[in-house]
Amino acid sequence: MSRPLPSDDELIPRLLAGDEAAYAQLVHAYHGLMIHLARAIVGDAFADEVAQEAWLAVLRALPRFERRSSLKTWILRIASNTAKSRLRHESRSISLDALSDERPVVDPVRFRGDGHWATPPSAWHADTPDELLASGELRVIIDRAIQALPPLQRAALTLRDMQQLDMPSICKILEVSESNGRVLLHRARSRIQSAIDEYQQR
Amino acid sequence: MKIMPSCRDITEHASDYLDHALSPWHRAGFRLHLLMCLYCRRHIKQLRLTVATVDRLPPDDPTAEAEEKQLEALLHALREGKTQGQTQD
Repeated sequence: MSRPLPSDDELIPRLLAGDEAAYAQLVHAYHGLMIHLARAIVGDAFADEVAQEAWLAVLRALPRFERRSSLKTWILRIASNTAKSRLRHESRSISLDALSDERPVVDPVRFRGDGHWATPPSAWHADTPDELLASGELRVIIDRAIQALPPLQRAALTLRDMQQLDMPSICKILEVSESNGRVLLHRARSRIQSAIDEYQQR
Repeated sequence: MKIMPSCRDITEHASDYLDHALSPWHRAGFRLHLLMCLYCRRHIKQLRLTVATVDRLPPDDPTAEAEEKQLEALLHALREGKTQGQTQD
């Protein structure tokens, strides 16, 4: 769980001096986030190993940290890169190309030629997250839809909507442009929306 | 995106609207469209509800034990002085 950390200015010299308490603060602050990011990219099975590898990489690279971003962003970028390498290694067939998913977010057959709705959205039977999540079945459907997302879309959704990081940091962590980051996030959200919609229309 | 977006444009850029990431000009076009289009208002409302729902999912954080184990491994490496090695960044 995260708790307030000293500023980077205070923390970095302590880390470089090998202060164990400073490392403890760092791990307590960011290990959870790192695990969520690793799970999003490479899946539950490898997340712990990836995090362990990433922490050791942080330790090794710290003397060369140039502070072009916050310590937090830098650490999570190392975790993201470690997870991406692992993913490539585990499954060469999976494309990490952020934008290989070119499908429109809503099925084109639902629009007329002029871009207006042919099959408009129907109303849902719920107005709040609590009402939606009251159905255990829908909760499972949402979880499955999140698991089915391409890795970088899942990472963007996790960091933004579940862990509340800001978009510029997320784009640095995932090494995508700001506009590609926004596309990843919107595609992820839209797929979850479609999954909920299908359930609501049953 | 055109000045006056179509319904399809609205669906493609709905997150940018919700997150205030549109230019003022595009935002104005969006708002005008939404004023006139019940279905797009509904679509945006459902996306907003989707985002709020994802935010409410229980986070499943790693256990305190897992965190301690990770910290021990890191401190072990620190003590061993394994600070030379591959470069990252």
